[in-house]
Amino acid sequence: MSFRKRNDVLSATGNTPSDARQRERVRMPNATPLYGRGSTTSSRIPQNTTSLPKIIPNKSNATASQSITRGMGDLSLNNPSKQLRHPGVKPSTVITSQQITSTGCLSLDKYLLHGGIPLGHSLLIEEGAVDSTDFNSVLTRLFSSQSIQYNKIQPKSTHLIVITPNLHYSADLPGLYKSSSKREIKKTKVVENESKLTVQNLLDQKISRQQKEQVKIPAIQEKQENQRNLKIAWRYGLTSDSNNRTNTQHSSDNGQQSTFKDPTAYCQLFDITSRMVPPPTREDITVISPIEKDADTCVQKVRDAISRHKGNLIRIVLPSFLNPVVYPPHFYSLPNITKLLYGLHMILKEHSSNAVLLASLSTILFNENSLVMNLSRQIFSSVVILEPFPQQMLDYLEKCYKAQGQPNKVQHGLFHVLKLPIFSDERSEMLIRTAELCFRNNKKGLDIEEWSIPIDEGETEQKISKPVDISDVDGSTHQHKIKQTLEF
Amino acid sequence: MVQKQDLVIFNDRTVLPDFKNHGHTLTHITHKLGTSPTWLLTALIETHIHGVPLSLNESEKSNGKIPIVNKSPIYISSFIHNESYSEQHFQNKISPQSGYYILPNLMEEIMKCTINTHNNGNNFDGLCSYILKMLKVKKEEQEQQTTIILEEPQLLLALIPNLKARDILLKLITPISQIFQRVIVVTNIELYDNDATAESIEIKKFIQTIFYRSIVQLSLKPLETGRANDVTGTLRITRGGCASAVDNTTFVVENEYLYHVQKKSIKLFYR
Repeated sequence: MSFRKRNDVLSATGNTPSDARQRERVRMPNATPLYGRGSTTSSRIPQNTTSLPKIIPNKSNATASQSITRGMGDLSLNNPSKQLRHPGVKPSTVITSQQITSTGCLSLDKYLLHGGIPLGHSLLIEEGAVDSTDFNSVLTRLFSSQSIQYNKIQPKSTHLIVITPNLHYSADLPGLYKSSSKREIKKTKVVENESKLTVQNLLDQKISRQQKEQVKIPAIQEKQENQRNLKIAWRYGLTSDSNNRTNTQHSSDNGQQSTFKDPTAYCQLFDITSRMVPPPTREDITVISPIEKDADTCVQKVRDAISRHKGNLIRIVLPSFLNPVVYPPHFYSLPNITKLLYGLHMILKEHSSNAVLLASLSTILFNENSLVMNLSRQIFSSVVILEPFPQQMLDYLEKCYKAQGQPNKVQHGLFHVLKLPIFSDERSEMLIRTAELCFRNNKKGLDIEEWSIPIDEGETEQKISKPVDISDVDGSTHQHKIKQTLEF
Repeated sequence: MVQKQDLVIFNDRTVLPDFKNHGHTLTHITHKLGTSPTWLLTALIETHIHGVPLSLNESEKSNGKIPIVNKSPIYISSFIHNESYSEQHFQNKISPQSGYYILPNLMEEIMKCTINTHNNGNNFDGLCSYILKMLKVKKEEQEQQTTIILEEPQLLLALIPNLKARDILLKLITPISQIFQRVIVVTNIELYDNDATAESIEIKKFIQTIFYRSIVQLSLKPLETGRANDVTGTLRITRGGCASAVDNTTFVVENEYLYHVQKKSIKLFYR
């Protein structure tokens, strides 16, 4: 039995398990391109079987080894150098080696468990047909606006690809939320003024810098005294100091990362009643119509758009998919739909380190158990359903919350979770949550929370005011009036 | 102490059918939304290589060093997941000393073919012969007994227009069954009996035929009562339509397990 020091590096000698694995499995040398397809096929065989007959003899071993590195390199987990430095990308809260990006809706991010959509994965939002509601479009528009906003924080970092027949989609995107409270308005005005390049601002900055330097000297003296008198406090002070130092070093090393220190940049608040000003440009967004030609052409256009923006975070959005208002009847053939969805799925897997997909599917024309629905649920890595409440339920909720003095708390529907990225498919975990969550639409977008039916206080008051007869064993009757302070 | 039970499918306490007794066999795994079969596939791959499903019931830890009992390769061919998915998932679970091939995503190949040639998948015969040619060459390399996992082949029926279930069965599944001793077909049962469209009917026919040809049926389902913290779903083992065709000495033990998938282990319990 041998032991290895923790810091010893074995990779130089090629003794790591991964090296052994690579030695065992190499790409199949006789794999053929399919019907003249240019790219290499990528099968794996043990190295000891390299003496096998080849289907295509001119495929060299060098190409095979190159294709191994390609296959492994695509995995974001295995190649940290490929990880994006981006304001909208951060490690998952559950699997820290997996990078995620925001959906643009804070509460949706929360209920996806990772804190966003993992890169290389997709999210499908289904909406049931009740009174022609369109809550899913709020989420797709938030997702789109967030992409544009990333580009404003760090130019040329993100590209949004929208697949929709509505070519004016970019004109409808919501702008940033501006608080109506006086204090917030004052704060934003001060920040805006300070950010302007004026002589007054430059003078102010210089004065503040000088003041800071003057303040530093007595602070150091005070610290020395503390060091002498309170050793424990000094230790804490030192650790916080060293932490600060490492943080500043880290930010200066990353260079780009220092520009997006603000944690709110990851997921910003938008006002769905406003419009984005200035509107997004061609650099920010590409709109592709899926109905112009067949699905293959659409997928190819998406590929072209991605190749034009290499190195960027690619956020693909497929809003109101199969909504009869925008999609013509000839689009509804199953092979066509499968080709488009599967083509996008393939693109995601090819660009697993920098692409995500969000789609919303209108279920107006389909049964809950139709083949199209089940097929899309299988292809997407995460699936959620928005089930708007019928009008009767909304009336009831309004009545209840009005009685409680909270008319803004009325929920608009149930939020079901069917699949979650990585957990459902790869880890085989059962995470279906039906009728456990609900959503509320407001100015800032959708709020998702735990669902509980509110108490109709009007009804309870009526019941409470009625005297309750309780007969004793001996037959005598007492009348009790239950106090209104009863806890439910 | 919580009781745990080992996965047993045949009466001789084996998990995979024995080649000597059964000849060419087909195992059918069905799953539903919320009960992904990835853990079961890993267990079957481990059984093929090591003789026992190591990842189940924490048997890996108790066994210490794990011997490789079968050096014949196992092929993993998916119509839904790409290679990197399979590679990423099975890399940590399967011993690198054992031979296993991850075939390219066949659906992807078909998609690329239809995109490049715009033949709309009409040349299905050509595609099948390409796949079989690839598999046959690989089979000839190793004169040992081999196993193949085919994941979601019914998706072809949704992708290629006017494709019939019997086309896939005759031109793909039957020849593959003749090449490989063990064929494991995984299908999503949510796609079974959806609506009255032509594609839905063909998928239904395909799944039914696979059931009739299989010797054992492994069904993964979530609990009917909903989500539970300590149970992920149920694994039901039933005889397939072809179970009577095998010899009398070995037969499928019909059983139902509850299973619980955790971060690092999978536990099975008798129901």
